[in-house]
Amino acid sequence: MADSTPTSLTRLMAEFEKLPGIGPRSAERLAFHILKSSKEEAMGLAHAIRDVKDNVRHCRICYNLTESDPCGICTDPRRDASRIFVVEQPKDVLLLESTGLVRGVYHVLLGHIAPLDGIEPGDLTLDALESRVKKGGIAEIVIATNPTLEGESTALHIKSILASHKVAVTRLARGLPSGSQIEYASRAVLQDAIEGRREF
Amino acid sequence: MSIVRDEAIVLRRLDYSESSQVLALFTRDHGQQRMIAKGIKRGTKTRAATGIDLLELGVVMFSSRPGKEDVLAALTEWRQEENFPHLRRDLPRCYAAQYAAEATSHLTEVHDPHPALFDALKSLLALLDAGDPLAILDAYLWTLLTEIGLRPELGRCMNCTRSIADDTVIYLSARQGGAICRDCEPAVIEKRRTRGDVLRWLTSQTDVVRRDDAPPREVKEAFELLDYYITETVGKPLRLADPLRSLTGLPRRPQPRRH
Ligand SMILES: [Zn+2]
Ligand SMILES: [Zn+2]
Repeated sequence: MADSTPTSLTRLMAEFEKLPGIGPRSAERLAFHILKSSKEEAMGLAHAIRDVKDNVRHCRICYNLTESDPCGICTDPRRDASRIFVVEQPKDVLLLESTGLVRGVYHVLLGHIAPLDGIEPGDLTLDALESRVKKGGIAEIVIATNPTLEGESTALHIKSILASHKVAVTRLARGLPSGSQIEYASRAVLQDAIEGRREF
Repeated sequence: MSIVRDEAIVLRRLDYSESSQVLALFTRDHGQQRMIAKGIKRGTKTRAATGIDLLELGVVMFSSRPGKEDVLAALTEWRQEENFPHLRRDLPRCYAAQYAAEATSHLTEVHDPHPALFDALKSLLALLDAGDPLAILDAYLWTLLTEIGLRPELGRCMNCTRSIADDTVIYLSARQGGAICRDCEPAVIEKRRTRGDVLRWLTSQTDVVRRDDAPPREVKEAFELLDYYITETVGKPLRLADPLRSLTGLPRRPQPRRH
């Protein structure tokens, strides 16, 4: 880019380039797109960015992202507040909600325990989860962390924390995905499927 | 650019973007390799859209550029062989395995192959399904130090060279590279006190095998000694040290000495 490029444009490109998956060429293309678009369109983007930073926060109960605190799920009287689905990230809530099968509420850990990456139990919202259980009225904790090594060890940690409380702890099932073929399944997936088989 | 095929264990795994991962692999014949696995989470390279997990064993295909060792290699294919499901059912086992992975990544070099050590790590991951996890970890760490040429000399005092085979109290110094006898100990600043039985347990670990008769007290003390030695050698405590200690009933690591 020549030195004659206006400073604001260079700045915009630099900002775009910080985004995940955006290289210098894409940043340049995006910046010129903004420059060419109408003022309303461009300001719409600017306002959306400002609003998301100003208004979106973590729910004080479940730590999901929300604009109203407590969030819409925690305050919904039709939900079964005695069943808590524990997930790693807010986007996992969106995905579980999209199934329409979860009648309970959530607890977002905001990550998983990963000692190799220096992430310890204290970095997650585990204390808040334990407090929710201690308050009583919880029948089941459904652990929906990822079936990765870190997700599984986080699940084990949660189980040990809750061992002294009177609450059922369950874990999402693992195994063959619907629509897949056994021929292409890895050994680990087949092991899970065999161990987790159910009466039919 | 050439395509390399090797057996590998995942030591570190960093999510790089929505669909890609950067992996630190310990390969059997090419040592540690850092590589980027583009599109791995979409399943284009693994047959299943799951990504590649920590401490998995598999066969990797990657492209490396001779002479450009500082550039990340690119993973082109991964076939999982084993994911050691027992590590996912028990925290002490899981953390013992991660301690081994962390020690291996700190103490071996990129592009420096150690096939025997690779086989030992594979044995450790498989053997952690039963028995005392610290006993198996002791054996692995001892093999690791032996393989990289940093095994402490425990047969004689590093200072006066007298045999310490029958001593009950012995000191270990990382800087001196081995044992220090009671008489010489006051002159050595960096050291840790231990017992002869602990050193005898350690030096009997010539292979990573499960020993059902492993003496629990010596196993724990040997781990503490190895953890001390590795901390001094690496220059900082391993991240897994405290989590593993608290899970196996060991006190937290003593505060580091200043020297
Ligand atoms: Zn909420
Ligand atoms: Zn001496």
